[in-house]
Amino acid sequence: MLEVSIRNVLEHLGVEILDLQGASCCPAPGVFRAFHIPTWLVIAARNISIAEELGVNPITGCNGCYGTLRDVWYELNHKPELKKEVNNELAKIGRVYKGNFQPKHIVEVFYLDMGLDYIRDHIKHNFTDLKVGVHYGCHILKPSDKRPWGGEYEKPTFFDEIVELTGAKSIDYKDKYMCCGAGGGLRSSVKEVAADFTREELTNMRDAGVDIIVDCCPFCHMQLDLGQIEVNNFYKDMIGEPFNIPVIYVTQLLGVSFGVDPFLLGLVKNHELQGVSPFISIDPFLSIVKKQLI
Amino acid sequence: MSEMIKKNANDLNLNFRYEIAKKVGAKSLLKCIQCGVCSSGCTVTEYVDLQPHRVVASCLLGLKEEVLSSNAIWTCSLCHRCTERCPKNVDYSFILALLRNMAAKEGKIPKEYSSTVEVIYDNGFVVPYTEGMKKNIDRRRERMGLPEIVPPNLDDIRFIIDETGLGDLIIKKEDDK
Repeated sequence: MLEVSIRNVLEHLGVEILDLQGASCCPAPGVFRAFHIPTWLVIAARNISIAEELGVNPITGCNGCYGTLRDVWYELNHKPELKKEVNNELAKIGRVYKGNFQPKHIVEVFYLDMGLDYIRDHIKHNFTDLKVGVHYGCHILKPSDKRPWGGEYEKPTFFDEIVELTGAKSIDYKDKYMCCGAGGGLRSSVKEVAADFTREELTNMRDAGVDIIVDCCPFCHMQLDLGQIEVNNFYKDMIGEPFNIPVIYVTQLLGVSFGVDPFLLGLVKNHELQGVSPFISIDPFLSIVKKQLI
Repeated sequence: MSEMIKKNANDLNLNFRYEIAKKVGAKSLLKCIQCGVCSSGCTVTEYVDLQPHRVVASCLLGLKEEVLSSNAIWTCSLCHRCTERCPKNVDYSFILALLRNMAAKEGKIPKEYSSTVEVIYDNGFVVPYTEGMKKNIDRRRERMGLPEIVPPNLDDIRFIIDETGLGDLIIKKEDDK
């Protein structure tokens, strides 16, 4: 549901997408890096080298993939010895890593490469009253020395600026730059702990009065969306009313504002599609779209 | 909170701090002043048996076994706040990754983690992409108008996992079963 919105919005913005055929898992930073740093480096370098062959920057819509690809790219470009070791391994499968194409996050492409004016030029419809809880997530910001935001990680605004191009209002809420809870293998290993983070974050957002949550990472997306069901379940007694805040991915929000068909943004769920987002109904969001944009 | 540990000075692994610090990027361990900023900003601080500053203190004290068997090294969402906020630039986030690597080497791996590696070993992806799942995913993608997935050459992925040494860890784990 998210991928279809990424593809269609990028195409709407005049981007030609080349798929990284034969790419594998990034690999997952929480698990692979945790086990064995060298393996993490080589598999990530292999993925980046596929983009190098095509002569393009690898672009991802996921904070986790971004974390791995960007960190590995940075490490290898700053440590020639390490790069040599990685290339020794890659040579055995007939590949080479050069490091001349920097991995990017789509939000980075929107903000730094295209720029706000370019995005604004594509906006057809403006929201008149939509309060958004923007969730950055961790790895788009940190480690800050390996990110393109000039070291800012405690109170950046780039994502809010993108969201507000649509006329929506980004609402400040407590601990806005907090982790969703899913990363590092936490979601799979200690789900209750992950859900407890999510509970706190959802509570803060609800207290601030948000209509929807907007994120830029599929793993945060899953944690904030499917996680609401888990929080409603695990922490029934603590939260009062169960949570049901629609969770919308950045390109889905931009897409409706650009006038892209909601079908092409993964906003209309086919009943045959079980086990994919949205888990929490996004109907309230779609009603707002209908009322304010159409 | 963890119980108090009583240990003779002779039983401390005084080399442990250097074992960590000699790794590229981990020398910062030795600069810790125990201010506790890492733990106060840590998102999992209330769930771990050893808070970040105490993990660092335990490493410095040579409590290798205790550190490597603590839940603290696995209960972390890698949010990086500790590293960002440290006034002495101790890269706790990276040190924790190293500690996980060391624990993994000793076969101390929570099974949720090793099963993820096994899925990637078998599929190249973190979500299984074989048989029934593959059919399901392909059908869904077709419905959404998404292009077919071109999966990686699994021989390459397995070769890397085996060659770099991670494969040994998975096998070791399987031997334990």
